[in-house]
Amino acid sequence: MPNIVNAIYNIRGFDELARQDSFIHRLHPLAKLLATLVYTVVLVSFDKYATIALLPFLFFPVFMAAAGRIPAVPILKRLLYIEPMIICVGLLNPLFDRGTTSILGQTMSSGWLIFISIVIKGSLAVATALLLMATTGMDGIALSLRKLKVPKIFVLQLMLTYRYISVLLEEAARTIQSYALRAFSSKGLKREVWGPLLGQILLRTMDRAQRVYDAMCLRGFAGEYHIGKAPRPSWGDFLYVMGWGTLFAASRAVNLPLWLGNLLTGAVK
Amino acid sequence: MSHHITEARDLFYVYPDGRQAVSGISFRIHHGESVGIIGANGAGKSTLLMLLTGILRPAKGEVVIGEVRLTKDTLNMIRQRLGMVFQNPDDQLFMTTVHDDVAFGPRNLMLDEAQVEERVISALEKVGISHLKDRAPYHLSAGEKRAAAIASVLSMSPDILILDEPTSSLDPKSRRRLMKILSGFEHTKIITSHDLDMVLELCQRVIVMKDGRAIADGPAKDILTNKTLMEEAGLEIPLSLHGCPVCGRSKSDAD
Repeated sequence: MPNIVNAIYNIRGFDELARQDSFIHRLHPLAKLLATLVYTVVLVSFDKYATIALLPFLFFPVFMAAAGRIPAVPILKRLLYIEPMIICVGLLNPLFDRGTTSILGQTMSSGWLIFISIVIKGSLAVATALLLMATTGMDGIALSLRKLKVPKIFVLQLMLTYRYISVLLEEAARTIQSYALRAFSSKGLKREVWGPLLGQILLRTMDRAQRVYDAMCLRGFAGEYHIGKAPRPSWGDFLYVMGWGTLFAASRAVNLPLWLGNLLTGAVK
Repeated sequence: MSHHITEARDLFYVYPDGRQAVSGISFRIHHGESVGIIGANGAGKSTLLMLLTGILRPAKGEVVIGEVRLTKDTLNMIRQRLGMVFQNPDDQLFMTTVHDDVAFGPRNLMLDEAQVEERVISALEKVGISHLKDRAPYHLSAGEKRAAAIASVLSMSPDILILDEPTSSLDPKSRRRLMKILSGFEHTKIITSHDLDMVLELCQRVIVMKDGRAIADGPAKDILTNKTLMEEAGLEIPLSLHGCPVCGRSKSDAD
């Protein structure tokens, strides 16, 4: 039960974070979305064995969190929820790829190297997406997607799903609370009640969602989610995208950690 | 002022499970009137409001708003004239800030952002919650949520305000504040409620419903003081009209 209540607060926590005021928050939502998209595309374009070369990509999420004054704990907590999925995606590689490869002069199982690469790429991409949400808010992201000419039906789907998650969680919290108050000694939910409870939650959520939708229709909603007018992008926004884009491209073209390492060891020699 | 007339003509509605919720209701509400719709639980009040706003389609009969019949084609136009405040404000407030919730309607009317801002500020001022505009709706108290829900409807500049149980779950102070706000509006008001004292104070006319039918329609004071009628409808006369619980003297005696 507390887990569900926490989940509701966690979801709303992102909206709260997005309302803060910082350099990152003041940037145009489109600039932040574009920078994140370029980041993700460049990140996944790396070779499957890439690990050391990915290190410079840690800088972007760290910068976003620091400049946006986003606390690390909520982001890391959500990242932990996603981590099992990322691990599942990469887990079969050590089993099927039995070959070896050399990294930093050491011989290593190539399957494990791919696994590590997938975990790094996945974690960085998810952390950056979470930071985009925490600094831009779902409304800002939706606005940017529409600017990028993403069909309104997809944007609407995204927005309504996001809104209805809290409706679903609230109904689930109420149902489970009323069960817990009458299931004195039993721990958790008995298996026999899973079906009826799930059905109840579904029916109540559908009713509630219908009322929310009716309220929207009565205020002129006709399929387009109007979020307001975004401010005009400034030169700062343009420079933000270009600056990060250049840095990502440079990090993709040159293995920066290796180059720096060689530079330093060369200087020592 | 015929454009503000709300008319129900022999309305019938049957739910898919066969329950007859509204059975032949007719009334005509004029511009600026405040009408209370009262009745016991399950009398059909909320269904009637949903029929008036076009959320439900009547099985028989018709709704006419300002001489325009409510049909699929006229629905959007008519909804611009009607503002409905739901019983549970959480159903109505779904944006991330009060400001965005109040702006939701005007933005759907495709007004430019300056006009939207003007309407939002004006609506928030009318209900006295301008200071809450940047707050998240779920952080507000029940009274503040109700005021925000009303503001979200006022920003559409409706001619007719429809309120479903506006004082439910409010503490006495918030209830009094809300009543003061509502009494200041010149809109046509249609209010369903079990708070009969509020109905007595805000409405000049009352329609009593029972089993989906209107069993009485007339001046609020006449209806709400009619003990036999109220008991027949499963209601009681308003508390403010009861005698003193200590000495038994009626209010009229004291006056």
